[in-house]
Amino acid sequence: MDDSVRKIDRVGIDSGGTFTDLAWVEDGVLKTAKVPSNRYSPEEGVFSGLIKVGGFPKIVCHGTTVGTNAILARHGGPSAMIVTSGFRDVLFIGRGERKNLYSRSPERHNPLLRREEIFEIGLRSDADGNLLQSPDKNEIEIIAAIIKKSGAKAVSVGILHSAANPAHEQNLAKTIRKITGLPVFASSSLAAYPREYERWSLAAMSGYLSPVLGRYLDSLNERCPSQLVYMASSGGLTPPGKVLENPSICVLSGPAGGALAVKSLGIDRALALDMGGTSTDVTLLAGKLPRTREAEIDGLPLPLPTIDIHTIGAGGGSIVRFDDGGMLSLGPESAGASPGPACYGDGGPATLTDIMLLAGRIVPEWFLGGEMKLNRAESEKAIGELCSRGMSMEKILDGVIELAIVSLTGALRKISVARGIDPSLPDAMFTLVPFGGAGAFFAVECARMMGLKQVIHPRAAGVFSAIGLQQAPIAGECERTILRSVEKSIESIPAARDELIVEIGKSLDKWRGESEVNYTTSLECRYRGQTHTLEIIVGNEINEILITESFEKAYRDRYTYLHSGCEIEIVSVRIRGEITAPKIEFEDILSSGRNMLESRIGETGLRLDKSWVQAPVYSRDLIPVDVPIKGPALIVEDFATLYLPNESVMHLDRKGNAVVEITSPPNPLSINGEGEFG
Amino acid sequence: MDMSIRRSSRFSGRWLRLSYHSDVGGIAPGSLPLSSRLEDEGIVIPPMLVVSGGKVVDNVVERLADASRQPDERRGDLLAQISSGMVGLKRLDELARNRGLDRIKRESSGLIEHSERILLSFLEKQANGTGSGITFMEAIPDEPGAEIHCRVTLTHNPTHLVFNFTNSSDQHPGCLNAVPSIVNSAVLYTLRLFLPPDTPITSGLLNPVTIKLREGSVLNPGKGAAVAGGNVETSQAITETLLIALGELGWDVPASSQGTMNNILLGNLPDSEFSYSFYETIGGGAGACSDRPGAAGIQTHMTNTRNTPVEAIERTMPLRIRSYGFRTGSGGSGKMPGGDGIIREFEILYPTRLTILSHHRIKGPDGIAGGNPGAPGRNIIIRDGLETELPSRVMIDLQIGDILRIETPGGGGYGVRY
Repeated sequence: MDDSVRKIDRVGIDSGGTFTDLAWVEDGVLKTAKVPSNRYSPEEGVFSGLIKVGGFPKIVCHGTTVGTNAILARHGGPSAMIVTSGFRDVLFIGRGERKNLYSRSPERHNPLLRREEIFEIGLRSDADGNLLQSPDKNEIEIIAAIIKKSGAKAVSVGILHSAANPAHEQNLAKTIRKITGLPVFASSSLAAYPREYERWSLAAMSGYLSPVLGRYLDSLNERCPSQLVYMASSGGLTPPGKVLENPSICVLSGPAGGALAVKSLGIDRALALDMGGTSTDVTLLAGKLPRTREAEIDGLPLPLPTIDIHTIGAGGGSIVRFDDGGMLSLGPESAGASPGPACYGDGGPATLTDIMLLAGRIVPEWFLGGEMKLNRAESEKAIGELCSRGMSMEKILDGVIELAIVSLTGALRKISVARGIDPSLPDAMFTLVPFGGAGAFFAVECARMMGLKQVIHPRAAGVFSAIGLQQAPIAGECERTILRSVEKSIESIPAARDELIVEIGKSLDKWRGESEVNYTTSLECRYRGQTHTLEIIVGNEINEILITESFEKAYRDRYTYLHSGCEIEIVSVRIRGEITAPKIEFEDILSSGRNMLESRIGETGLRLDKSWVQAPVYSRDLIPVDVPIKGPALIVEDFATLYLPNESVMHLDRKGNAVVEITSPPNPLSINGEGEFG
Repeated sequence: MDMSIRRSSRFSGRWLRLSYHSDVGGIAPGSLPLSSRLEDEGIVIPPMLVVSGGKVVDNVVERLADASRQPDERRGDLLAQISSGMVGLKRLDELARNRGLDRIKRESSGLIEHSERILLSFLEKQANGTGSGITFMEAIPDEPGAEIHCRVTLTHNPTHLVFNFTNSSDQHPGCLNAVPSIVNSAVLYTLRLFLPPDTPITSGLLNPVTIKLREGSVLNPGKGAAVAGGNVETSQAITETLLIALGELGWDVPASSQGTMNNILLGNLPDSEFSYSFYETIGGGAGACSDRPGAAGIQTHMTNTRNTPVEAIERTMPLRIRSYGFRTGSGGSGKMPGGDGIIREFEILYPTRLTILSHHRIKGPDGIAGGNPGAPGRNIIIRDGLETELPSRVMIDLQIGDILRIETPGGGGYGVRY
């Protein structure tokens, strides 16, 4: 690679378990690449991808699963934690509830630290910050010495009430840092979140991830002359220094790229459906990225603003079986990558992929770019064994496809209807945007069931997240706890905001290029006495009436009523600074070499409305712009297939996105041809 | 305290919302007192219309809220409950429009039959027989305990499971009485433990089941009986009894779990200037299973409420939490040990009335297959350095500076440890 090649500005690199995807723009043309990932050293995937780019760009925008995997496989640490005396077990007890209501052996989350890695210290204030107990120098030194000797590579600190009154905790953190020379993570520096379990758990996670992410960032930095920025779960590219200050911000980095890519399509209202081999992520975008502070990873809380993505265990590998009551069921168990679906030929079980193969929705030579040879006979055998329960092959195919649509639709409802947003209102209709390997197999039917009219299957849907990374803003966020009523805190908000802006401005200074930093101020608010908060965005002018109005609007939208007369409390103020990526207009797709006749590359025997039909198969790369194609049909490309059922029409727009219009009325029953209205 | 808001929608569907309101009046803060009559436990609400013609009926929310020591909090919760009912109705209407009434009816009965088939397919693999279990809910000074007795019989052709509770104690003079719906839900819960994870809970699970209760007993009390402890403590004792009986029948049951919810209610004394009310349940040890140890410090069986963060308690209540941790060594030993209980210490910062409803303070939860019992729980008041142990159920006034220390029971162990 030639270091001097720097005409490429930005490359988006999305590391996944199987593939590392890349997207960049060269001379105004969108380019993408897909290379195999290296499970043991993910940086190898990054560098072999960069070889395809042909040089180092100015900025590498990276989405990584290194943090996620360190948590899932528990190979972070070693690290230690110091907490207020009497509360050593807080990380283990959590919120006290069990995961599964009905189990003879109730289970809970599995914390990242062991009990012997947690130390108690006599430091404690009341809720107002008045010290009740403070450690002497000797006590601190003894604890620091034991931790140092234990081989811990990072230390987390959790002191009661530190979100409201950070000084005691941060002084202790400073002292420990000075004595041990280790990275120290004070819970109050990571989140202004006044609940000890969630905040301490976050501190423990950051300490636990610090060694492994530190090594990863170093190894990229040593070999890559580009500037590296990392996708945070909140949907902003983060400079490495900020990642090392709070490594937990990267643990849900993967799905964030997809949501950003949907945002970059410029659709006002979109439901994103990212279906892969084992799971499906859904997100609702209405202008801005939806955010939550109640995300979890592996049962552990992540009380940081995180793009609100709902995940269900339905994917191509979901296992098809009959349950003990004789009912056909799909997932959530998955055949995974190994043995994989029966058609992979490794002795795998009957899965959704097998069903789609037999139902004619998968054209084998186009599956995963044609690199995976599918064995139809194995699918027939696996499904055939299920037929011994007295159900015909056709009934199983139809039933499982309906189950898949129902469970995907259920996930979509959960992020829309269940949150007070009706996506099918005629004057505020949402568009369904499927991506990932399997999203477009069911998207049109899901959209119809949701009462939607349009599906957009974007160009390069197979490397869609990398495009999102490439176009993402560089961002930083910080926050401060307020925990007072609007009335009592309103005076202090502008000053707090200005201080936070200075703080973020410093960390983003070096990235200020042609574009300035845009700041957004948000407040976490609730009625006094409630636990959960709503995030409201405020403008430059901050006053009581405006805050009350925006809070009440958000509250009514979400919960349908107001608790008038009850005091509104501001829990925290938060600033996000954002440097927008240079806006890239993708080039139009070439019209030369595209023609309708050649694009029709074959036929498939398709299950449709409870019978078999022959349907055409089109190669997406050969379809001309703006020519309508009616369902039933399959539109295939290297890493995705779009299924068009009856009563839908698709055309490619000039940017190469497949736009599907649903022509039938919003009749959710059409998927199985029954209609009984009460 | 539960109040249901029902509304029939355009088709013959019904949306029912059960909410637990933390204070509805009565003789003690939190409304779970050591009562002897229903009236002591707060407002008794006859069936009444809350929403009519899409509008909340005048004064109804105020009337219910004003019965509480925290009318503002109640008002908010009632509004939330009503709103959820409205949303539920809307969804039912949509469902009826989109899927059609006949189809919904067909699918609903299909679901009910489906869960029944799952239960039958499990029961058919179990041998005929009978088993019985007894749990003695502890007596306290001036009040007897209660005996929960269950004899379970499984017969085949057709498969039929009978739970006979008729030998349980007479109606309790205190608040331990449980209404029949609590027995039903304990039976449903317990059966569901043996079924696959995705089994839907429907009335189909009770089709092959008969539950026998005796009128005038602790599990089927007369009108006006005190029931504050029924849902929160007796329900745990019923579950414990059921698991012991099913174990005798040869099913693979866990050892007894903490068998209580450790209901702690704290609030101001009558006529004091400052008003507060705090209610929580505390986790404890889970009983061990044949293949795995019991979890420590966790909510078991008939409750799964989350704890309140210490930082939230101390910011809004005149209470200080001094410690919150595992009660090491309290789980019963065995080949698989029971889970440890929890120790939680409250310092009282304002004159307070305390109510405790708990169980297993004298005898710990049983082990099984040779495993040892878990340690019994303890309710302790520390005043001026002196410890006083309180009984399982108690109502007492506390002073500033008093420390309330709750040690929850450990779970029973499974099998002999060699």
